[in-house]
Amino acid sequence: MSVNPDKSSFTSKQIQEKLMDEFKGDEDILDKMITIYLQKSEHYFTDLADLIKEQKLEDIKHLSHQFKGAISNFTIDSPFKTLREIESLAKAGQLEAMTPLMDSLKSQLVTLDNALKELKMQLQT
Amino acid sequence: MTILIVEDDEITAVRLAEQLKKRDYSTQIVGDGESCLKLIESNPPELILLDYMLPGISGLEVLNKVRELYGLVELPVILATAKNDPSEVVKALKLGANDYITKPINIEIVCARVKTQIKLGQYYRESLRNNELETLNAMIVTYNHEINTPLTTAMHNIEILEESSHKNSQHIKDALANLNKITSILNKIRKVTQHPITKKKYVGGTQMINIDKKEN
Repeated sequence: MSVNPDKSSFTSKQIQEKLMDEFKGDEDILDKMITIYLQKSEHYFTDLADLIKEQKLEDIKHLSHQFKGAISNFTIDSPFKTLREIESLAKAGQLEAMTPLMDSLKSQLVTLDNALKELKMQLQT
Repeated sequence: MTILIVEDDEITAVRLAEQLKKRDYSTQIVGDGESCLKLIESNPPELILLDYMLPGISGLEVLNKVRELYGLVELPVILATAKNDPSEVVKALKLGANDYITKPINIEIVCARVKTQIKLGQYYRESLRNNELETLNAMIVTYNHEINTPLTTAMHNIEILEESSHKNSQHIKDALANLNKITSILNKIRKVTQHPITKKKYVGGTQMINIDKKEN
């Protein structure tokens, strides 16, 4: 994603340390999860953006919930919170407030993706 | 011991499956409620970890259908819900979920809850078996008591007849042989619960306890 990373709420190092601690002894599983996440995150984001454009509230609610669940395996910081807000807005039928949140989400995902890519390299060495 | 994971997010599903596998459970993943219901009809797992929000049939609908087929102890269901929604938990427990876990997942909590449900099932089955054995023992004691008394009287009377003028009667010999046979069957029945109970086919699709087991 060609967006500057979000540096307001968490750092790559914080995510990596938390995950290494949480997955102690299960590093192979963490590696597998990161691989799947990196393959899917961009699709999740673009699909969600498309659904917002198409104003499909029920699908937005479901996809943001699913995306939030996927991210919760790595962090419950900003991208998780942003997706939770998008899900709440979808439940409330408030489409217009979603666009600024999607902009924030984009940069938050860059930070998360970078952190996970670095962590994956560490796990493989 | 198979745990069926019903989860539409692949990362969460893989995480649960792999971490549970490392802790000696075998796992199977399905991504939606329809697949779950199809699977449990033919091959029910030991426990279901069910996501609340699924595409198509919701987690609650799946739970409802599972409970139409299986009781709480027969097939425990642990529902996975979002941490910020206690109403989901209440609905699920009312519909027959045995327990719940919240997302983000904490694998140690998941394992502890899975272990508890599986142990409860094992205790229940064990207690059913113990009840069955107790009932069987009581029945055997009853049969022995109720049949032994008239049997002893009958044998005593036959013995008197044998000593009398009917000594060589074939009827008396046959009656005695049959009474001895009944005594031998009663002895076998008395020992039934001392070994694992096995059953054999009887008429009309019914079964009977195999009393001709050899003693070890």
